Amino acid sequence: MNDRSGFDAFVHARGPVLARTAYLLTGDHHLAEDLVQAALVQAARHWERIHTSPEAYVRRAMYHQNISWWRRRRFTVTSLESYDSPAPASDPTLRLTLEQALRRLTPRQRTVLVLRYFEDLTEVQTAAELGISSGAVKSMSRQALQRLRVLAPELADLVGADA
Amino acid sequence: MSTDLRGELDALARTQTFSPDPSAWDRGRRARRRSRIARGAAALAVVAAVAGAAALAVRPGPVAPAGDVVNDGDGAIPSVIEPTNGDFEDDWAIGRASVALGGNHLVLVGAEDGRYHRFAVPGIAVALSPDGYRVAWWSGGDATPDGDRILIADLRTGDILRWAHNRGSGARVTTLTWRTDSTQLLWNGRSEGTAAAGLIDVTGPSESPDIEGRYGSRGIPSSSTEEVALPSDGEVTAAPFLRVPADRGGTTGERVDRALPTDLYPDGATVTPVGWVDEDHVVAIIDPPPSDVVERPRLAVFTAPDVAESEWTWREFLPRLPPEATSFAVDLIPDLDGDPGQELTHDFGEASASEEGPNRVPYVLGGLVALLAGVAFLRMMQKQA
Repeated sequence: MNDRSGFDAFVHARGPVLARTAYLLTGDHHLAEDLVQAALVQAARHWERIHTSPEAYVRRAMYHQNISWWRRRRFTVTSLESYDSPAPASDPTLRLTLEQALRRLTPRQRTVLVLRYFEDLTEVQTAAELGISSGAVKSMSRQALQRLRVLAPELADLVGADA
Repeated sequence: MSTDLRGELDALARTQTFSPDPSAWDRGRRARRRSRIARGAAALAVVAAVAGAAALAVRPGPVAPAGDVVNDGDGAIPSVIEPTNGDFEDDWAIGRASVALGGNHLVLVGAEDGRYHRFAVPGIAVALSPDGYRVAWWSGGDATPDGDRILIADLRTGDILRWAHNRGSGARVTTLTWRTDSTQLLWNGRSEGTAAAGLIDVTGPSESPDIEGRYGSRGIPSSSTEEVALPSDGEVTAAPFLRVPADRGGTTGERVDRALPTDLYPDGATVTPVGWVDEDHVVAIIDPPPSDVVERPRLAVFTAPDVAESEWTWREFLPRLPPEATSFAVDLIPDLDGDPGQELTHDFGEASASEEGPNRVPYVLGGLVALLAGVAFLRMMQKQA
């Protein structure tokens, strides 16, 4: 299998799974698509080095790229006033409420939450993926769950009563 | 909680569709070509720098080196750890290492020259043996090219042991911890939803499963195994230890605490032991909560709780640790002589810059070769233009 066909096979096999993670990281379908594509371009660039284990590389690229993008665009996303106010509870389903609340976490908090509760990584593995200390992971994870409870009190059953 | 949350996150994630962009490969390859050209330009800058260094080498050098290498001839832990980008290496026979850094990739710092060696393997649960001659990491699971394995590289020979842990059935490894003799490696993790652990003897190699639950603790036992240094659960005001009487066979123990100095850590700190210098002294990563004056975790050596409190000592000796630096060859820390000013690390940069006498020859030759390479590169670029 040559480089190009190996890359294509990887994208075909793992693209949908990566896109799902990207959506949870960004909270936006279009951004998620951009995030996956940017990480895949990076993977193609370094394919000789990573072709034996491309998924780990692409995932890390997504985690870090998303935070990097957020730093550039955060001033236009939301005002501080709305940061802590509860999300509108008019949505009929819990899932929509969760989706709205997730969007209002910081990317670091959302990334930690996704790695811990969607990817099922431990604190140590999450810390290794993000290049931060496990103490920071624990702290961010706790803050993320607390913020979810503030933003959407109706999610208490889902995220626990208290950290 | 986590099961329900995971289910909801999964359902949310499934609303995302994926349409592969057929141009991704071509865009990536174009970027690769551009970066190669940029690297060529950077190489020119390096040539200029090397030429400058060569010029410096032929000048009379400073009178004395900046500091002796501790553990003369064996190497040392560097006084500054600042990982930089560079090419990946394939040959694991780099000799003794002093520090291992995890994260996106595995990086090792050479014990004798302070050089950084980057390897394209996942930096998961990285553990450098106390003697610095072996490094272990987890492959990442079944989906990886190595399968679900614990990999152990011998840095003297370059050989890699791919160990099918958990008696071949594998497990998600969360931590790897070397025993003080550098021949036994303890893994902790989860298998099919339950905690799992095992002790690998790399000299066999062989593996002892955790039948009696004695390996459940993620701590590091002292060489006598009578005390176990435990990682703290978040920020604490006292480092946790387990005191294990010899007649209990290491299965149970009494929890004892060793208070942290309150003047250094008024808000406590996260304590992650990395090894034992001797029977009475532990080395640990101390990570206080961030503040105006605290930016990064640091490495400290301190007396264990079995030492009389009147003789307790505490010394930070490697500040500003990057978060990726998680494993250290603690045997390279010199025997403590009680002097608070004793050098426990080595400044490789200053020492190498101050070499003089016959050792200048390689610098001069290297500078000339680099200059010739630079000229050749320039001619090649001119031809291409």
